[in-house]
Amino acid sequence: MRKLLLALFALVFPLAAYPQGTDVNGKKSNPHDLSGIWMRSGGDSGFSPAKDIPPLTVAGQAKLKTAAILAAPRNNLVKQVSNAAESNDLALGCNPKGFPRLLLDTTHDYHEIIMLPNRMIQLWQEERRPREIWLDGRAVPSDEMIDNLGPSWYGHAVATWQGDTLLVTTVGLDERAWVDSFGFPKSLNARVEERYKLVDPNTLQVTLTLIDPDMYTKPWVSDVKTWKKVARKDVTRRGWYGLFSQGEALCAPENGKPFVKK
Amino acid sequence: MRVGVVGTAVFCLIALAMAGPSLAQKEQQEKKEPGFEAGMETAAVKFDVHDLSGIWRSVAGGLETIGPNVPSMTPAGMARLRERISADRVENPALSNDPQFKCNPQGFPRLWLDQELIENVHLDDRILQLSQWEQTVREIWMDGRKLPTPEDIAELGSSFYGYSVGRWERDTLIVDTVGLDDRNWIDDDYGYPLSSDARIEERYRRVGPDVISLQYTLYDPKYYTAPWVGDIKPWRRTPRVMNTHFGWFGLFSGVTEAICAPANEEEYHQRNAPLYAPKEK
Repeated sequence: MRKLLLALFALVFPLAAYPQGTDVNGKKSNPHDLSGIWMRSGGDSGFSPAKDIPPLTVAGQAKLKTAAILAAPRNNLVKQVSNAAESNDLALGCNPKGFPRLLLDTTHDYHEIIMLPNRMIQLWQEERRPREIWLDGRAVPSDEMIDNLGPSWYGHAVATWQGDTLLVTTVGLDERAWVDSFGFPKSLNARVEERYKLVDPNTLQVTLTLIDPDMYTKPWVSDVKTWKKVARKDVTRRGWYGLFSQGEALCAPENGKPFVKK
Repeated sequence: MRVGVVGTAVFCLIALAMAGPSLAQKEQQEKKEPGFEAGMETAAVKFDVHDLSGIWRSVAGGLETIGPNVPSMTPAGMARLRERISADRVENPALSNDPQFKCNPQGFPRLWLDQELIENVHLDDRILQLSQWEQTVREIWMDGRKLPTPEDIAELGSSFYGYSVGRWERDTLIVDTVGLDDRNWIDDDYGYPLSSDARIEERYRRVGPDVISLQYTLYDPKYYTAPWVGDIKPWRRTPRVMNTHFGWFGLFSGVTEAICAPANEEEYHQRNAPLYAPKEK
């Protein structure tokens, strides 16, 4: 009965229905199933294009002034340097990129989403890093909980479905990790919201909102980041299928330089 | 016409609201992820020998290496071993050349022998092993694929965590791993080496509701004259309460520095340098 009513509703409002079909691997698509291996295909490599960056607070400006970056600056407070040895970007020294930078930066690496009943796991090729997003109904950690748990490079993430949009809230982030490769800061009090939506069986879009009154005068809303689902054959090498068939993008100081894919 | 369409839509919405739990909620209620049921299991609980899910910790005593009976080594293996200075063998850890102190990946099998928390997650085509230490992952493929050949590995590249394939032989999960990076140390205590041709076999058996027995065997004729057959290492399931800190449950709960970050190492060394400063005579 419930399915009949849903079908009737979809018939009346066809634009509200998720486009059915199969994905690039022939799997029937479901708007609440984000599983698969994905590659970025759109969206700025930073949090957002420069024009959309909100004003920084006094503390945010002071923090940004300390950054020495390799990329072309998006703010006149930050210093650009010409080689990694002069940069204080922690990621260049094999420190974790942290969240959200790992998501933003990986325009050239794969990540895999695995859906489980109580959480979603994002596996990132870069850093070989799992990130857990809890779907078990738990609350976002309070400030007191974060004080007790301590800061985390990848934070503590909780998600709920709002229709066909997965809203993820992450708190408790280590402030040493930059927001993106342009050196923008975030504080321990920052909250990052991600909104994931499957727009078709092979296209996943996410927008992020950074809420950090310590560093920014208003919420910072990203542009739309797009991922395309990868065909199985494109993540198979020598008969070996999987995220790490495309190389182990682990930063190891003994490799002599960071993030050397073998 | 417009009223009819709107009226139909409103009727549908009201009916849906009255139809009971949402589809998503019902799906949630019906699915329970094994290993996360409340509390600690007791000996009276029946268990599935093919279900290794949950968060586990090795409780093996003794040295954190493959086993106590190390086979004799080849000259190449001995030469490789002599290059290594384990922090456990010198008075001042700063004299060690253990790559983990510069935040190089510990790799497999070392990270698994270290007695840190590991979570097994069963998927349709593989078992994920999440390691709390390093916040990293290992995939054991259960989809019938073959182990990569040396030619495959030459193209895929060696890996700190290797390429692993598993299969069930009755109630024993047998996992083979090849393609390991030869810079990996097998263990903390001695720095035993493994070559790029090494194959490691693991045998997992769930022998109780909360116990897995695990045995490693290293096949590496380049460095060892015989297979290195390990002792049995019991893994014990850790109860939910031990993996919940300040109300937050999960493998990574309560551990904020499990990822080796050079920024932390520098701070640590600066803070502890006085402990190892030469003493005045």
